[in-house]
Amino acid sequence: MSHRDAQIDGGVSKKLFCGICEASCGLVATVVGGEVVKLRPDPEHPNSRGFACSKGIAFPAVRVDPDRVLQPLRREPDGSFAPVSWDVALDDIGRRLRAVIKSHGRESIGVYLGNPNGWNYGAFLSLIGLCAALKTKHFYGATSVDINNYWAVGQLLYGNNLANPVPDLHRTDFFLCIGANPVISHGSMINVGRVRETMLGIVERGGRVVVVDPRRTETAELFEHLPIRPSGDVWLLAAMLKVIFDERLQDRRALEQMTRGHETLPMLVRGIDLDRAARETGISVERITNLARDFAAAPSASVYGRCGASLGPYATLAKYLIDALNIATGNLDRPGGWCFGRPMLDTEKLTALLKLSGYDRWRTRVDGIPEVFGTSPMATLPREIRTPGPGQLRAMVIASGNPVTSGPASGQIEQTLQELDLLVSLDPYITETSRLAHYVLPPALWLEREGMPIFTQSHSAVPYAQWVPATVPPPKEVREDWWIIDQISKRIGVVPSAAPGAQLLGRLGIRPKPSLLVDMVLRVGPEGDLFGLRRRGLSRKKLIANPGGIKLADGLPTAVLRERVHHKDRRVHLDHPVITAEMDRLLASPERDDPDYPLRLFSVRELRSQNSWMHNVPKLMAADRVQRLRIHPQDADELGIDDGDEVEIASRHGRIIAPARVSDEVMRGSVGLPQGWGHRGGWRRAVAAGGSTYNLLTTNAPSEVDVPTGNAVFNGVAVRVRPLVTAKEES
Amino acid sequence: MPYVIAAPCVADYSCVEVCPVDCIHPTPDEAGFEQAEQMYINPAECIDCEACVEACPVDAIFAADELPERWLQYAEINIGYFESNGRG
Repeated sequence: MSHRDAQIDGGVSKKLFCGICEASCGLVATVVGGEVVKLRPDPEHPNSRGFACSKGIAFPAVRVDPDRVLQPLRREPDGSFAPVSWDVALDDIGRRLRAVIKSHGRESIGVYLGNPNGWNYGAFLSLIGLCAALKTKHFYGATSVDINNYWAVGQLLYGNNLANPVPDLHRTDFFLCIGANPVISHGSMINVGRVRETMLGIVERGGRVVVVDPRRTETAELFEHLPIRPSGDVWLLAAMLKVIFDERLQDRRALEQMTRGHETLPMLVRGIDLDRAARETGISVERITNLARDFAAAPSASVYGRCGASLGPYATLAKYLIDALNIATGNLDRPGGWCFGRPMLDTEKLTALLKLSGYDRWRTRVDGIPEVFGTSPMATLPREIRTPGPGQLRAMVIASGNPVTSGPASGQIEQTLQELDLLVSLDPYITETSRLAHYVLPPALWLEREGMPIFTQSHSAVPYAQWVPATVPPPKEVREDWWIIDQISKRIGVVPSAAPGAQLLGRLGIRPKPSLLVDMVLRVGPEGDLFGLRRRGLSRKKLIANPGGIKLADGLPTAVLRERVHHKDRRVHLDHPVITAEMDRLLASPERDDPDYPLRLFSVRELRSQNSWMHNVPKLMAADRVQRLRIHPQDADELGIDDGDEVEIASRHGRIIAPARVSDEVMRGSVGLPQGWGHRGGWRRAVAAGGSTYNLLTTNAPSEVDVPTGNAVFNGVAVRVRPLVTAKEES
Repeated sequence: MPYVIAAPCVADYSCVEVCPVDCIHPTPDEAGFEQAEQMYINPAECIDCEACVEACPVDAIFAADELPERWLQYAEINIGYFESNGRG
């Protein structure tokens, strides 16, 4: 097909991978005269094997979007933006940052790293490097929305934030999937090509897939669906672990051989009352018990939880319990169980070398929240801007981030970002966030720069290596993020690198590109060519010559625990005071819901949306898609809500409006709403799509987020819903 | 012999746009489009023009008698969509 396409279009086929979501699907681009005329799935890609979704295929529209920012923009006093040259923009940014440093110190400059940097190793390393060079604790990111719990547990259990085992779906007999919708999301913290087919394959070979979710999701519809109240997951996991220890179903040998501190596990869940767990989850004691027994009895099994299990007030405890269940049933590091990936680039060693990996080495200035992966959580951002004193946040660079939509208590983020002395945004669009910036600087898109999937390559079900050249050159006045960050850094006298000796080299005028560091780590790493000593090994040059990717193995490795655990004793550490404290906090939490806000809100992922963007692509907005609140027919009936009615959704923190979709896809007592709507700024189609900001309903109070990590709480938010007509009459 | 949409479909709906007889559903303005994981061809209306095959970005559409072995059941799946939606 691609051969015929090339003939018809007179174009050239180029292989690459999709930089939109964690599936990182292999793609083939047809390029004609410097333009990408189409993107198609690559049937030869080792992991995605010919799969791609409608978002990836539609992406060339972003490149040529009439609303795309194509030159540096300076915000004028009236709020409009005026194009300026790179020199004018960068020099003024440098001058203003120097002024901030002079009056407040380097540590008053902050950085925000948005999700798309996970496919942009140059930006990722430069942003980390800038923070390291500034010695600032104001390093924020989308990670503190839904993944700080993973990073913290990775460090505690396995000794590195990025040491995160994945479920071995190709071989498992029992997949317990909690708060994840892989058929729609295509996987997060797992990277399984053709994930829908792979999951169906588990059932076809006689295994089971149980999907635990408040909503009968597109994934749940295909398998056994176990509805659960939003934020009930931590109770389910703890109760299952208790059943396993009470009934002596644990794998003692595995616990003794692989771990340290396993004797504390039964003590940890001792206080769990199964009857309360049943009330908290909406799942009967009998079903919880049977699920635990079946899970323990399966020849191989893995429990995995993603956003649903990561957006509650006990996200770190929930993630710990997920790993504990896998470990206690002997499923860690065995075929069909909970396995370590085989990354092409050892990001665990890399982040350890850069002193990035870690947990609770320091705490945030205002709220005293433990750092995770060298970062502060977004929950504290508004207070770090508003609270005077040494280290007060005064200037920020936001890279591919939209915290005005995606951050907790987003109204406060929007207000306080405007109080900064300087805000710089690297973004292809004028978004609700970048419109607040003094400068918007246009970065190259993934089609326009060299790429290596630095974040997702550790989670691939089929381990592979890929490094692709730019498919097409960027527009004339558009620059790569790492270059922009380096130029800003130059103007304040630092090198944006966390590598040892980088600042010293910088003083000698040597500023190596991020690709050099990554190539070095690759070449001396487990898959590297050792600079020629290992003939079959990898290097950047070799991979770029094979842009379709190179398969490293047919499946996930097993029996590699001792190589993959970073603790000195090579054992998984299970005994942690912070986990015990979280269990105490859970057990002490009041059981009764707030009668004024009786429903529990949770977030819904949609096929044609990606976090807070992609709503400006015509093809993805067909049929005038709108954001809708899913509500159960009985709840709707009691509240006098008909399908399509505008309703007010109110929490203790704010209120928004959305049309209702009355559907029994959600369980009674819970309501589901997609995030990432309610845009403002210069992306006209996204703005015209309307909708409301989910995060006006959420909080950033340090006692109400995930306490050990500051991770946001977007699920299980107590809300009340009423028809808008009634709401108007009363107010 | 009508055409059939099989497993690779990503509901990109390029086929819907090119179909001269509007036999591919759900269309973007129909209920169920937002959740649709794939599109379906109504065999009673398909005129075998092959326009959708050309338009499909993921090579998901086949003549019914040329369906790959592993996706044979999709002929029934396409028919089933119209029966259950009362459009047959």
